[in-house]
Amino acid sequence: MKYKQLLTASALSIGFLFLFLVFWHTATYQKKATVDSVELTAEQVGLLDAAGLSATDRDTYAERGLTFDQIQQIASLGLTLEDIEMAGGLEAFGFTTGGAAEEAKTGFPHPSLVWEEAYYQLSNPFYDLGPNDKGIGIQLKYSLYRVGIGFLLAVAVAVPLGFVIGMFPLLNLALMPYIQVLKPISPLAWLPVALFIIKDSEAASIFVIFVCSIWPMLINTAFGVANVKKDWLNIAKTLECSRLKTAFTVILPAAAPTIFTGMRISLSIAWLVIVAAEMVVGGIGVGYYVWNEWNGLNLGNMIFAILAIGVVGLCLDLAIGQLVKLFAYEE
Amino acid sequence: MEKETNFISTELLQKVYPATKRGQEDLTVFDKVNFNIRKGEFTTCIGHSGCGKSTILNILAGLDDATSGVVIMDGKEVSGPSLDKAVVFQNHSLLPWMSALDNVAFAVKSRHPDWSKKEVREHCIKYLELVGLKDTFNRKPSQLSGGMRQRVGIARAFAIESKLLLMDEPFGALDALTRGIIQEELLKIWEQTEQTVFMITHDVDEAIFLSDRIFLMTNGPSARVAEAVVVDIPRPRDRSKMVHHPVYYKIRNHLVDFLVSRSHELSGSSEGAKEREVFTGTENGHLILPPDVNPALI
Repeated sequence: MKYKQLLTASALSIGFLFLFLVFWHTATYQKKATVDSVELTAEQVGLLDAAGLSATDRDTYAERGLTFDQIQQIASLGLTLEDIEMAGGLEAFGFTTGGAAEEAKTGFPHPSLVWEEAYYQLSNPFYDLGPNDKGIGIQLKYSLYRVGIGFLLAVAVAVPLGFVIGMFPLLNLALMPYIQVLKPISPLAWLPVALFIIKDSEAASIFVIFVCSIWPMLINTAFGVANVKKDWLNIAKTLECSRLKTAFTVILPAAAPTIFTGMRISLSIAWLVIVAAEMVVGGIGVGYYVWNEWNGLNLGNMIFAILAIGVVGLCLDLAIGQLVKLFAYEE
Repeated sequence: MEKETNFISTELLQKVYPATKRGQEDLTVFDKVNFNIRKGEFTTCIGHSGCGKSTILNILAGLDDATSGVVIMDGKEVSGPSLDKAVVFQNHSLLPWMSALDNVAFAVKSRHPDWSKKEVREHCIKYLELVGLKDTFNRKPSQLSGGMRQRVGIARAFAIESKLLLMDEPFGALDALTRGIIQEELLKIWEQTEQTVFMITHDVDEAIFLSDRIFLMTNGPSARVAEAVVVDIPRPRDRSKMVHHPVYYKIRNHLVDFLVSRSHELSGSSEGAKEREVFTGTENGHLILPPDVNPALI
């Protein structure tokens, strides 16, 4: 029954994807205007040869539907087809070839273009052709590095602090007002402060990740520790366990699922925030990459990068989900 | 003479929960609770819900504080929990991330920090087998049935070999058949270890089967221990033969009669209680203990 359900769900998923692709295709597909090639007479060919036009160039112009007069005009310029393409194509010289002009109207990229970009990027994800042309792999690597460092720093601070807050209700009451005020501040709001104090864009984006990761972990850890079942604590008490031993043998394993759930929330928020932070900070990283591709109007590449962000986010969540499972227990 | 054999005695225990709202009165759950338990005695406590039985047990365990009054154990005042007092909680209270064996080992290691791993393991297995568990040592509590979990809880309490064993309705959540089997196992272990037991129950037959004496508590608020019923049936007891013992139904009727009517009449908060008799708990500076009643002699 469950297997069958899974199969139906998969079929349905693929169906939805197909529908979406069909919609995308019909919304962006522009038929290339068909061009009737022009037949040149033997006499005309002779004239063009005399003007110094190569046979291959001449045939190409004719296939693209240029008239004899137009070809003669090009020949009189003394340029080869290569020169013309370098200078911006036939359109740049005022020769309309039909198909190209139609294509320019199409704003959003066709799925096939995104597919080509994806293929190109994935076949060499770590290419490096200067500061503004690096592969998606390098961009993701930088973003993951920032998220990793910021997140781990946040774990190192939030979990012990949350543990202490959870253990001592007085501390909880004393610190909660500050936590509640700081928590709703968008992490990007800290970016100028961080840039001013640290004066380093790399460290500033790590700081932003650190700040946004701290709150869910801090609050979840404190909650998990404060709400350990009283019966379990009583067991430790009747066994004369010291406070420290109780903390490590009873409270920590009891609160572990809640703590790891906090980590999971933090990590997904960190991955959301890094894209925005990199768009603002610039330089390198997947957020900046998306912004840069938009500025260069490489929309196919941009859409591919957006999809890549989603896939990496999913992988991060799956990975930490495994950790959560490891420390989960059934009552 | 009797005083020397008293292992536990409570003196004028009282628990008051202060009012939480204005205009509310403080709630005195129980008041002037005196009783004593002799060394090696198996005692149970019966009373209606809300009379503070669990609170009394927690105070004996050192997990809760009485508003006034003291508990003396072995000549010393009880102040906080200790390894001398093992507790079996109502809902097994096993640590769910540990296996059955580790749960017991956690207790044994606390009792004997100097023991080697092998010694701890052997000791744990001995007690797990005593409560009838075999081959399920490495299962987590969630993988055990309700009866098995409660057995692990009992094994954990027995394994630390404390002087006093406190049990708060340990079989409340079990079906009648499992309950009967575990009761018999409990008696067997108790006869071997000679621990002193104080147990709370709602089940009249369970109380008669297990106990030397049964403490009867009146209804709350201001509940108190009204009397101690002596179960004069020789051990080892056999459930099927015991019901034919001439005293059995006398005791049973006495207990049921108490629960149905007298628990209310004797309550410190019942109508006219003040006019009838004010139970002071002391007389000329001496504690008044609830009378021992042997229904066989009535």
